[in-house]
Amino acid sequence: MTDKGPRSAGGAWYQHLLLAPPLVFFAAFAVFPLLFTLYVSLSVWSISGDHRFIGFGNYAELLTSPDFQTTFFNTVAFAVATVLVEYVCGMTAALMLYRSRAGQGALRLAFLLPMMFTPVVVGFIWRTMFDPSYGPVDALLRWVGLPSVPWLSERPWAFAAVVIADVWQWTPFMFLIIYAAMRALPTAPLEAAVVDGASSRQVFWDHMMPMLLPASLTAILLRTIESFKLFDVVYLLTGGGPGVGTATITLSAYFTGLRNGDLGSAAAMTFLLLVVVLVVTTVLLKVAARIGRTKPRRRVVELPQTSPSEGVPA
Amino acid sequence: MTAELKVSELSVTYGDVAAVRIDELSLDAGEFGVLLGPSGAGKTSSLKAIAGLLPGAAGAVHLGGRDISRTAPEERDIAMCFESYALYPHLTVRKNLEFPLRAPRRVRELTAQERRRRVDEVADVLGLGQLLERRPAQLSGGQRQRVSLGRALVRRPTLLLLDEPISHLDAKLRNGMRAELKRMQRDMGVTTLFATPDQGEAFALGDRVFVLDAGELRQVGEPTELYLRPSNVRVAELLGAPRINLVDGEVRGQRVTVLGLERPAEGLRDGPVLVGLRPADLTVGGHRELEAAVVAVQPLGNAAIVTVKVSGQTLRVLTQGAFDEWQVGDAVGLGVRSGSLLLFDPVTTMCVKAGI
Repeated sequence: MTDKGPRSAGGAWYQHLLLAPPLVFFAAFAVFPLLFTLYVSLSVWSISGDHRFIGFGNYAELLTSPDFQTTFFNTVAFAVATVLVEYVCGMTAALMLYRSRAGQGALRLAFLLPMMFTPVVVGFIWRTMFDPSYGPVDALLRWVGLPSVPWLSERPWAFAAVVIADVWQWTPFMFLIIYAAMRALPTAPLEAAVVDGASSRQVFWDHMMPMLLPASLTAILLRTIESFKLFDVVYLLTGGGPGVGTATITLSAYFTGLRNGDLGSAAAMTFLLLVVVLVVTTVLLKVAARIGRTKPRRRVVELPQTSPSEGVPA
Repeated sequence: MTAELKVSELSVTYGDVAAVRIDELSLDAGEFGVLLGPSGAGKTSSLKAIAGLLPGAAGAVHLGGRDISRTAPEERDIAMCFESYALYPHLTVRKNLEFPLRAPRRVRELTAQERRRRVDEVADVLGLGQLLERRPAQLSGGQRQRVSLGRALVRRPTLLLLDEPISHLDAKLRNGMRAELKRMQRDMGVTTLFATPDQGEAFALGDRVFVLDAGELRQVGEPTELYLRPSNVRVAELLGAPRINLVDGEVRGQRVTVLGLERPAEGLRDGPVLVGLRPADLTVGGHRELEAAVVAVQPLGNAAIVTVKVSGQTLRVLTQGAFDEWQVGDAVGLGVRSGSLLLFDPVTTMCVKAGI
């Protein structure tokens, strides 16, 4: 190549220098903390500052610890449960609003309200709601004649309580993305489907859902990444209890590192979480890319097969 | 299968704005109706209202003698082609064509093989055989248009509504599709209402033309009849290309004077009058009744639109044959074919006399 375009890697040294400021920031605020955390996770590192490199000791200890296994399982289970329920609820709400004729503005605002609370407030709201002595949820159960439920102190209920609180707060996020995508859908194909005789169920499943798939995946991806980092609501609602029954990785990293002063183990926990999130994100992005590719792909003209070895004379 | 359409007292309002107010619109069974109107006249709204897609529409729609005004759109047995084609982007052409046959009210009528055969039939007629496994994004405009038409025809509807289906095609394709559409409609005998802003399509396709302007029907009739005897200025303007010339004239003592020309006009009251002169009824060149000056020449290939000035009025003239004869600035004679004048009341814009 004689002519180097503006995008080629060559060019004067000062052109590269112009990239330095963002790279310095990236190194200082992303690369360094990441590598430092990795180093900490490979050490015995007390909060007092004493530290000693020990290799994979922290990881080995964590992976064999039943408490950490529970925590790990909790984190994944919370992520799956909350994202699933939030998606279904968000889609339902979006569809209801999309099909309603009046009151869209007010309802839209009402739907978004929970998202505007800080998680601490949400934690307190639901802690009050689920309180065994004065909580409205138990009062409601008693009123319809059902037995009282130990919401925050026994395992399946505590788990459900956390899911409910998270769903309450984050369904609006799913709703917002899906509703926006719904409003942006071309109306003509949907009208055509109606004229073609489709039932409203068919219009939704056969046409709206496939057309909403990219937006759905985006919403699911964003919520999945966030929900793996679930902390505030659990911290306030159950404190991770009973035992470690509702503890998440972030929560136990906090307790291990900042309460018990074992920074090495805490760093190892967060690093494991990072690996999980990376894997899940990669898988979801692959799925999204495959779906996106159903759009026109250049047709390869099929020629009679000649293997490469045949093409090259010996 | 085919049935007559009768629409009465149809009105569509968007907020406070009345978009469509049609007193009556009817088509005989198997007839090809054209809804002609400029953009914004309410053509799409009218079609959607007939299809039942507009919740804000009021009025009665009878199809085959049955009142379907309160029938849900999916139960009306009306097929519609949308201006944007409205193909299902995530489905292949085959699935697009098959979709109407899978609707709940029809799914039991046909077996999977019969559905397949019906789709193949329609694809064959429309030349879509090679494209059945493609998706809409992989098709050209003309192909998409065919798929959209095929999807409407595959279920043999009682009424076919077409919303400017061929307006977006290039001129050559459009002419071909016009002929094909007319032939298919006649073969299938399906009652059809076709909306278009193009007067050429109205002439080429319409058994009956409904001229829609500002949401109201101005005139209904065969295209030639509308061309020769428009009931008002708007209809005269909408049919015929290039557009009709409108010049001021004067009626005095049973005679009309326009551009220094005099013609008998019995039965008309004295006073000002608007005179319509079709560009095709005017001729330039040689020694004619009027003196004119050429202002502009727009060649069309086998013809030309020559713009001339006569006693301060600008007129478009459609000349046949050689067009390089005329140069801007030339003084030419202008002839007006006898029996071609249209007279309109300047206040009400209604036609008061045609063919003098």
